[in-house]
Amino acid sequence: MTRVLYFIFKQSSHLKLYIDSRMTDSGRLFLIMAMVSCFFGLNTDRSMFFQFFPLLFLVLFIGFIFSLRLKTDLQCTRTLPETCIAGRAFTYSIAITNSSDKPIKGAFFKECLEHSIPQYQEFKQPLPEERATKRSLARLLKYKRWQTLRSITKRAQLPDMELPPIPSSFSIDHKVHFLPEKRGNMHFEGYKFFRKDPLGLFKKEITTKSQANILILPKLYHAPQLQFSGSRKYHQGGLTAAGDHGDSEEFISLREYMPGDPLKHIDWKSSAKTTGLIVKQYKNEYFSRYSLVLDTFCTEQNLALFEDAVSVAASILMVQDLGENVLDLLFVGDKCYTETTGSGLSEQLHMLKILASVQPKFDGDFSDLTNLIKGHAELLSGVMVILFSVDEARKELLNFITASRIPCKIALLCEEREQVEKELQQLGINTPLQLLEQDKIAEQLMSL
Amino acid sequence: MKIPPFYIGTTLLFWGMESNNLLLGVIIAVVLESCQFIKEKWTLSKDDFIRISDLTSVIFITAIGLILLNKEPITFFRNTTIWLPVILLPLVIAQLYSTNDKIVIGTQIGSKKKKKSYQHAPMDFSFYYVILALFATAAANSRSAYFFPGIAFLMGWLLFYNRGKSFKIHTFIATLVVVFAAGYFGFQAMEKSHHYLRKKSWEMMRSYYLNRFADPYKANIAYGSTGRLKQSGTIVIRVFSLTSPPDLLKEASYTNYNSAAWRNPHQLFDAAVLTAETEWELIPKPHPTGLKTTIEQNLPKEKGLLVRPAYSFRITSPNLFELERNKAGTLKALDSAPVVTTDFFYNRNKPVDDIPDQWNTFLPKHEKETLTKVAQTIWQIDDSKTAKLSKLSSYFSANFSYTLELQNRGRQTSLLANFLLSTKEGHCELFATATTLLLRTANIPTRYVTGFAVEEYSKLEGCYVVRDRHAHAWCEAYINGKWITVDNTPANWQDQDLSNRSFLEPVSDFLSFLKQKYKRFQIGSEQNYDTLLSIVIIILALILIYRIYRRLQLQKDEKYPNKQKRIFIPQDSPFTLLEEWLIEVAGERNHNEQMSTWLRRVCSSNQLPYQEILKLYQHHQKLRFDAEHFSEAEYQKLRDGVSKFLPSQ
Repeated sequence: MTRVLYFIFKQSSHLKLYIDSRMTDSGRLFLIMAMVSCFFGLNTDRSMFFQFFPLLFLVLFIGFIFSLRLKTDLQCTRTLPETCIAGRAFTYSIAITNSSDKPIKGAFFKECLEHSIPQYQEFKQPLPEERATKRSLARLLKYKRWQTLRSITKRAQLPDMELPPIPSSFSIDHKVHFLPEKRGNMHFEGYKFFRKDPLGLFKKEITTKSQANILILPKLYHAPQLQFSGSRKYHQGGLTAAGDHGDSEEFISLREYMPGDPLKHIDWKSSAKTTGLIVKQYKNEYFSRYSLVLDTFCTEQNLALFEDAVSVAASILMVQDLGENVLDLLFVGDKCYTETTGSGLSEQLHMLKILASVQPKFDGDFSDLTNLIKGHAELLSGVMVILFSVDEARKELLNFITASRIPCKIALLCEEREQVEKELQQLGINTPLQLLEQDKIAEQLMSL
Repeated sequence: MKIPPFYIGTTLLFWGMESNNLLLGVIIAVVLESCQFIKEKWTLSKDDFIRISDLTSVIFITAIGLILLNKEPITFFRNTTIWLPVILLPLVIAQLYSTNDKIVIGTQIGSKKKKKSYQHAPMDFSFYYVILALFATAAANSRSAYFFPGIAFLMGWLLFYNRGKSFKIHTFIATLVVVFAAGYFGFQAMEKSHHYLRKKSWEMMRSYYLNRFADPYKANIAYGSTGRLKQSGTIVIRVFSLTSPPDLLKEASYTNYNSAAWRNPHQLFDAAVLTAETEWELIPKPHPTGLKTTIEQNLPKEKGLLVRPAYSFRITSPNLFELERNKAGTLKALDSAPVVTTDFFYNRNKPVDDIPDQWNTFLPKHEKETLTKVAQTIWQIDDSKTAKLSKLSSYFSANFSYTLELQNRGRQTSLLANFLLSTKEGHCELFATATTLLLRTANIPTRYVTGFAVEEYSKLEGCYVVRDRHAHAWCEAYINGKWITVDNTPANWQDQDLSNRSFLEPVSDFLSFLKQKYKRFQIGSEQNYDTLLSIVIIILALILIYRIYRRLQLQKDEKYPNKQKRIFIPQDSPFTLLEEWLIEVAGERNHNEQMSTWLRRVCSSNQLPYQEILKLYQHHQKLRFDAEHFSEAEYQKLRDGVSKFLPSQ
């Protein structure tokens, strides 16, 4: 049964791809209209569909005949940047050359994105949420599974771009606009040029292979700089590859106070002479080290919340002043990851690239993340935890953070505030949490 | 795919014209096309669109309910399709009057979580709306000569707007002309082919049944079947009539008697003439005025023979879909609801129903001798036809008795001879057969008729009920250009039948009444509650619509609690002079380029003080958007600042 369904889904995907490559939007809709008219027009006494059908059939037929002779002799060179950001309109330029001896009018450009068909082995495995649910017709037919697997690799939809007339042996620059929808790597297989038949129903695509990649970074919100009440801590041996920030007991210079600086380092005399607080800067072993903890353990049902959590993590990471501090990004993937930025270590963009590639973890033990934080706890001046569900395992993490008195901020993403508040009450979690509702993330994140 | 301007309105006008809803079509067209002139648009969120989808669903379900209650079931699909442009109006209005060019169709109904809803990817609904409006127009089945030109024009317009630009326009026009010409002949060919195929397939079916000599609907009968039927008290037919109902309801008539069975040589059934969606003519117009009787009959297999009063000339039925009749007037439902309610119009004085042929005087050889012998004892050869009828009636009432027991079969060679010569007792079939054949010996055309007697009025149901045991057979004789009923079965047959009824019959009648009510409700012909149910549906729908609408309003209020429209009075700013000068010097701003970015670009390339000009620009913005708090001194400062850069006149 599963094999038959897989075959049907696979073949229908190929068929859809073929129809999409041969027919325009109008053509597809005219085809559906023709089929409906044919069905209802069979009885010519009952309706007037029989007068509609011949027209639809003929335009489709003539359009198809025209499309057989369509040729588009164009070449293209892309100028693609390395990254773009999900949710923000993105534009890149292409140079199109008409190498034929005739001017080309009414041509379209279309990017050829990777068309991935899920493998049978993937399709065979039930989704995590399906394992928990009862047997149903929907589960039996596995359509949702197919859709989910297809959507995982779909990053953006690039529309067909209508090109201006291109004279013969001439090259033009053109902008391609699209909206990246999902973070991750977007792979371009090549590009296509096509023209429509006179009736605008059929087309003939000419595909050219030209592989390229662009990394879509997570969606970014406006986020505040984190302010923790904790003091800087001694990091034995400093930080490998760190710049000359932090302090040892050897005085270097004076500088402005930053959150996290120990009070004992404030130079009150200098402060009195200026408008703000001034602290003494020492050599390299004392600095603030913060952690940004990202929960990756999710189910298919809260996959959207996981994506939002990644966006929140990226947004927070981007706005932190890491000149003097260090930020660790902690999460669990196929293993436990600790990525560090700040103090001259890797750039924030590098961290965003990591976040663009973080994958949800459908199975595994949440205690791995708890243990990861426990291992870092002593060095941390503050911790920011981003969760998107609550249960006993997460409660243990929250209890640990509260007990170890690390200054912390905890953001919990949710669909419905009331429901999560009820769950928190049931679990007896009293740790102060900042709830970020899915449709109000942008505004609620600012009050973090 | 793009929809040309005013295309939706034109389509709606076409729909209104073809579906006889022109006024409604004009109103909807005006409402939809006004969006082109009204500049104010709604800002609708995804949730708002989903609520509007739910609203549309409620309207759709309400429309279905109302159509089922108030229209004939046969026209349900057609009516629903015709009204789609009205039903789907909220969705298309939401799209056309909102700032979004696409809408989200989904529902919150049935989702467990409050905010979780099932939704489709954003889509341009206007195109689907246009397509459905065209389908609705075609479903209206106007048979108008303007339909083809209209649909061709609308299709051509749509194609023109979305045509492939790489071809010249005359290629497009030539192609379209070919399509329209071929399409015109195409639909005519399609119509003719359909009629030809239908005719041929009917002929094939008829010849099949003729060759097999078997009619699926009891074209021949044998003695005894009536006897078995008579034992049952099940109600099979209900008769509603304002005047006294017909005494007898005909089911089938037969002309050819042989081997103790009646057969009908006229097995060919023709499609009855359908004059309207739910009306059939049994004889050609003009129709006489007549009485009306409504007969409700159960046809569990949704096909079968229909009973009718004699002399019926027209019938109407909301739940009869396909009907055939044969030469003898037998009606066969080919497709119907399980309960068929039929209005029969009949006139007892109507002279000719159908004309007799040679079969109506045919006498079987082996019965001829017996029949002639008996006939000679009843009447004289020179008696008139009416006198013969009268004498025959007296003969049966004086010498024969009614019984359902057929134990003593007698010494004669045939069942009929036994009945006429030996036993002289029997049931209605024997009386009817004997009457039919005896009259034929006097050269009077006759036929044997089966059906039911209508005699029992049910106070519970408020109508006449016909039970299985009321099944009856009688004779029809053609006298003075008219078929008249000749029923020589002794009048006490009904009393005898009644004596066999079960004492539990009132209980079973009550159950049958409830069952029938449920059946009527199922097929939507429970007339008594239609208005009430329609009102209930409308009220429930209005409550739901109000609830959905209120949620829309509430959310708007929550989002903008003190929303006040700010009015900006255009100000004459000195900065515009500077801007014009900068355009002259450095060229216009690029598309989408911010003012500050442009100023920076212009200043760096012309060695102008960027910060200073930026400050002037900020003052200019303040003047534009906060003129109330912009002092005279500030205005002067802005003017001085600008004049510093402008070349002296």
